[in-house]
Amino acid sequence: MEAQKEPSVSKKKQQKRRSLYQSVWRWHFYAGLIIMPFLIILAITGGVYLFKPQIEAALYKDYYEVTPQTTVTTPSEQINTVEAVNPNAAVTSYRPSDSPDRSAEVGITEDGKAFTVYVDPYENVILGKLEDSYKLVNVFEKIHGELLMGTVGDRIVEWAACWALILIITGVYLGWPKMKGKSKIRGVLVPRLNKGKKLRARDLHVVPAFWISLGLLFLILTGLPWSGLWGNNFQILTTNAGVGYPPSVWVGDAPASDVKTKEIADVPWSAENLPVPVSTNQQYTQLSVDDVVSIAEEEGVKPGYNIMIPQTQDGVFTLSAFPPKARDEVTMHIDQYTGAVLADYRYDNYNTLGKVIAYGITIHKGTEFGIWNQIIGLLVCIGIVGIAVSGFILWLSRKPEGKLGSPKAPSDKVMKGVIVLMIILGIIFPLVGISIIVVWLFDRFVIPRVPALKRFFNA
Amino acid sequence: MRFIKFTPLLLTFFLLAACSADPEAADHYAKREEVNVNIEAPESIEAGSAPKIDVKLTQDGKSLEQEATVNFLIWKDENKADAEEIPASLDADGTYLLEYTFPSDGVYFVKADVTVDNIHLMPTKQIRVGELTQEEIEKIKQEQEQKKQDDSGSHHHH
Repeated sequence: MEAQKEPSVSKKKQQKRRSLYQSVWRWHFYAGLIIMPFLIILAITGGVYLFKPQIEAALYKDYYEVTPQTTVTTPSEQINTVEAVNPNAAVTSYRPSDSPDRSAEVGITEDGKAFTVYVDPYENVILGKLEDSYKLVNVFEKIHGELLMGTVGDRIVEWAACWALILIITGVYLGWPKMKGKSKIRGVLVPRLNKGKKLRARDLHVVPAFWISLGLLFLILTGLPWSGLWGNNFQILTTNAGVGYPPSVWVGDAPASDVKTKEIADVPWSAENLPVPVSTNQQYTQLSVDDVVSIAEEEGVKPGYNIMIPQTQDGVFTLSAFPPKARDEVTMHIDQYTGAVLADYRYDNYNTLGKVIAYGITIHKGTEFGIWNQIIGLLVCIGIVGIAVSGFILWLSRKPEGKLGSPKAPSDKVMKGVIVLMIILGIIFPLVGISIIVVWLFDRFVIPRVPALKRFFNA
Repeated sequence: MRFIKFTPLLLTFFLLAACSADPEAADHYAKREEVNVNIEAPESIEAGSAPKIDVKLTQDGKSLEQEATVNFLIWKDENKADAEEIPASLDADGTYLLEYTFPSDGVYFVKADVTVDNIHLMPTKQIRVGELTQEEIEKIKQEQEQKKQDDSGSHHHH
């Protein structure tokens, strides 16, 4: 630290501010270096996923398109065809055609794998069969949501997203204009390209980051509610409190079909080796999918929905539609024996927070506002890759040989403000809390004890 | 350094600490009016007889006072396309009678199509008439076997 000869009050203040600046810089640097690869992966896969409708329409043209005719076969006839061709499969869902030239879809599971079979509803012939987890866009979605690593991957993505919040907060502090007047704008809102290499490297990170971080912040906040740990707990809290989605739309159980136990419990579909109770006359049979489709029509549900077929005795038919626009969403549960609508949750039945989350999700996915939603989403994704790369270049341009180039560690006193902010974030986002503890332990106990590390981290 | 010892513990705590969905949460959201329907038939039915089969509609455990439109559809085996349609007659509050004589032994399906206001119910009950042939018994056995496999083979989706 320079200029310590006359420790006047203003000098001390200045020094303190400089130390705080350095500590924030250190955290911005740690966070940036660790999560940069994840942010780039999320931005690229997300950028591709935005164009799911166009990509799938092109890829599966032969499975999607059918020639309209005057007579249509019933859903149960189409399902019978699929069952005949796939005798070992269990039919799990049916999606009626949503326009005259679009095929119907039958979801099946076979050997624990899920497939979609595309059926021409007029000819009642199978157009093709795809394994769901190998659909190209689904693979991108899987990387985006869990890095193809299941629950562990989901937690990593959530953690990276939370840390990106820390990057934005610390970044805003670091980039905040220090000069007054007109020059304020330059270096934050507009880059200075002709003021030397160092300043240019800085501005090429700071200026785009300022603009992109608005979009990034939106994507993080709208993406977090569907994450596995934080999102799930958040959804449960809001659903239970009656301010979010109704139960079963996101979290919580669907109602159960009334199995009229006194009649069905005696039927030996769960007992072994009992004689067929020929005298037990009464057994309800499951509604046909045709009936479910007609119920959907009566209830005013527009085509484009999927019917989940119950797989257990007390299961329900669940009719669900998550179309491009949030206000068209439907989740409806139908008793599999009587056809009674047990629950009917449309967008209008979501409570305030549920509506906000729903809009957040459709905008995040780029479907709410059509092509412009997709284009803006794509620009933000490109921008995120850009600021991650320019941040890395900025670090390289400042980094001394053999050192990481992080500013010297300030005293604990100055770090207080930053620490308070970190603790708040750590409590709201437990994954951030845990990693803050780990980094702090490393920063505090490991680095000072290992001379080589101490030199490297400039601690 | 003691902190380090607790880190795995804290980690496990955070990763496992999940609140659970409240089964009563649905009370906070829009509810649908519910009418319960039950098709009641005698334990054994002989061919050529007209058994007492009726549909009981209840709401909150009480017979439904409001009048409903009830139609029966009856078919044998898989011949749903040839189903006979028979309008039900009102017996008492919420009870609707089927007047039908089963012509021969076998497996029949009785579907009650019930409309009350905007509620539309359509339960179907399998009714066995007289003595079943060995073939029919085998078929029912197979169907039950199939159901059992389906039940254990796949899980419930939300």
